Amino acid sequence: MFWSVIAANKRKTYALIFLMGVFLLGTGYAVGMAVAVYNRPMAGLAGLAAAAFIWFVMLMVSLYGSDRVILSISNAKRVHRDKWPQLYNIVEEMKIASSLPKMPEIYIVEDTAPNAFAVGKSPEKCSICVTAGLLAACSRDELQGVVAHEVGHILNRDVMYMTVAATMLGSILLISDMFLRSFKYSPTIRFGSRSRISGAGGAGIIVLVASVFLAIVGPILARILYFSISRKREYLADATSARLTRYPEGLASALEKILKSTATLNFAPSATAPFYIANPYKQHLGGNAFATHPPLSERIRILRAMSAGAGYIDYMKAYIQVTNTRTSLLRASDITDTGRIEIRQASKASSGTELSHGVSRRKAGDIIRAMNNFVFVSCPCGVRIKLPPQYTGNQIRCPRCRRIHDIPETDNKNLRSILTASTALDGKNVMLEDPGQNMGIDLPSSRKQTVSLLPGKWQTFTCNHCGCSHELSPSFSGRRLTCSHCGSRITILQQASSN
Amino acid sequence: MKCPLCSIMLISLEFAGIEIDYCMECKGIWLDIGELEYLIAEEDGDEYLEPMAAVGVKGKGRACPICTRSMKKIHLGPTKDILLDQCPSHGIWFDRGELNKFISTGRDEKRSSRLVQLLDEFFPGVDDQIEGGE
Ligand SMILES: [Zn+2]
Ligand SMILES: [Zn+2]
Ligand SMILES: [Zn+2]
Ligand SMILES: [Zn+2]
Repeated sequence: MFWSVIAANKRKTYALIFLMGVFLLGTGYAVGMAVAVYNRPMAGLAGLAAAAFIWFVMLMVSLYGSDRVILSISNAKRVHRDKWPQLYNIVEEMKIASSLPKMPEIYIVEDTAPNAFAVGKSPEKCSICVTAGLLAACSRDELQGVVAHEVGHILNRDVMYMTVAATMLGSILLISDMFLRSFKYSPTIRFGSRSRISGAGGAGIIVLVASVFLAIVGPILARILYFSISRKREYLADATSARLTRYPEGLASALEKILKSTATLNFAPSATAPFYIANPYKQHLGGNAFATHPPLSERIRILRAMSAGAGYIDYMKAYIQVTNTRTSLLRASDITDTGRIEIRQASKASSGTELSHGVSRRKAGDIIRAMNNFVFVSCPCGVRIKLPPQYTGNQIRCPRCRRIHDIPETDNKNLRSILTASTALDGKNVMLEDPGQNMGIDLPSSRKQTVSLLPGKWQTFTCNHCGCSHELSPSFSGRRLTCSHCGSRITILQQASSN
Repeated sequence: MKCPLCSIMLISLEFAGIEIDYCMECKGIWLDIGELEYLIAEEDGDEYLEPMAAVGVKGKGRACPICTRSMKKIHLGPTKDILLDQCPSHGIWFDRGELNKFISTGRDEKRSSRLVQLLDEFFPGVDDQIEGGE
C-alpha cells in the first residue's frame, strides 16, 4: 500500500470534480449573459442553473455509470465464473492476495491485440478487463502478472481517478472520437457474428461543424488528462504485481508479448488510452515526451532485474539500477510493507511456448467466436470447422474429407473449445476430457468427465454436461463426484504436489 | 460474414495452421488482411503482394463480407491472369480455385510446391483438376 499515492489520487479526483464545476458554472453564466436580450441577470442565472445541472449529471455519470460507459465503448463483454472458471480463479487469487474488499467484475474485450485495463470508482466496485488477444497469448503465470498489475492500479486509486477524469474530460473527447469514426468507417468485429453495415449517414452540416470543433478541443483536453495522470503509476502497479504474484517474470514476459505483438486495438478511443497496461497506440521508439506510458522495454528490464526478492524494496532497487536515476519512485516512508518476499517458482501449468503472431491471433479469434456462440466441430481428418450462430441446418459436411457431422448444441461444447483455444486457460490442473473427442465421434455417453486437481488449492470446474460450476475445497479427497444438477459422473484425479 | 457471391454465411476452416473463410456453396475463399502475407511470407518477397488495380474491368464490385462495401478488382502477383476482389481494409476474396492458381503461377516449382501441396491437402476435392463432380 502506497498511502501517499492513494491520498494524491483521491485529492486529484476531488479537485477535478471541483474545477470542472467552476469551469462549467463560469461558462454557463457567460453564455447566459451573452445571449440575453433583456433581463440579463436572470439569463445569467439561468445559464448558471443549466451549467449546474450539466455538472451534476456528469458527476452522477462518472460516479455511477462511467465504468459501464467505458466498458461498452471498449467493446467489453462481462464473463461469469461458470463460463470461465480458470480466469475467475486467477482474479480471485489476486483479490485474496491483495485483500481487495470485493471481487472485481471480469470482462473480456473482443480484440485480438493483447492488452488489459481496469475501471471503477472504488475498490468496492471495479472491473478488470482483458482482451481475447491477451488470453490467447499468455500462460497462466503471465495472465496472473497482468491481473495483479491491474489490481495494483485499483489499490493505488489510479483507476478511481482515471475513471472520473475520463468521464469528465473524456466525455467531450469520446464524442469527438465517435464523430470522426463515423466519418471514416465503422469499425467491424472480425470474429463477431454479424458483419456491421457502415454507419456513415449523412447527418449533415451540424455534425461536420461539431466534429471540427471537437477535433480542436479534443486534443487539448487529452493533454490536460495526460498531464494530470501520474508518470509513476505503471511502475508502481508493476511493483504491486511482482509483490502479489511473487513472480516478476510472469508480468515481464507478458509485457514482452504485448511489446512484440503487431496487432492494434480497434476499440480504444484516445480518452481511454491511459487505462491500458500498455499504450494501445503503438509507441514511438525511445522516450516520447507525451507518451501516456513509460516504455515497455524499460518496465520489462526492471522486473527482470529483481533477483533478490519480489518485495517493494526489491522493485525500487531494480528501478534505480535500470533507469540510472538517483530519485527513487517513492519515499522510503511510503513503503509500509518492507518484508522480504521470496520469488516463487514458475508454475507448472505455464507451458512457456512461444506462439507465433498468426497462431495467437487465431486463438484470440476462437475465443471471440466462442463468446459469440459459434459452434466448433473437429473433424477427424484434421479440419476444425467454425460455424457462425446464423448457420442454418443441423448437419455440416467437411469440405476436406466429406464426412457429415451433426452440429452440436452451443454453450457447453463451446466452453471446451475455448479451453483448448487458450494457453492461459487450458492449464494442466483442470482437464475436461471428452472420451468422444479424440476419436472424432460424439459419444452419447459423454456425461462422464475427468478433472485433475492440484493439492492444497481451491478449485472451480464446470460440469461438461449441464455447464454448472462446482467448487472443491483444498481438503477435498474424494475420487468421484456426481453433478448435483444433471447427475453426470465426474472422476477426480489428485495430482502429485507441484511445489 | 456472408459470401459475396451467394450471400450465405461463410464458415471458418482451420487446417495445419492455416485459417480461411469458406463458402460451402460456391467454394470461394476469403482471406483476412494479413492472412495471405502470413501464408506466403517465408516463400516470397513483397512483389507478390503488391496489388495492382485492374483497369478496364466492367461490372460492379462485389460486397466485402466484413464491411459490405464494394470491393476493388485487382491483380496480385507478377501475372495478370487472375482477377481478384479486394477490400483494402479487410481482405481478399478468391473464387473457386483462384487461390491455388495464384500460389502456383509465376513461381518456380520448388518455391511454390509446399504451399500448393498444403492447399491440395486442404481441399483434395476442390481443386479444379481433381474435381470430378459430386
Ligand atoms: Zn497499468
Ligand atoms: Zn474432415
Ligand atoms: Zn458462395
Ligand atoms: Zn471491407
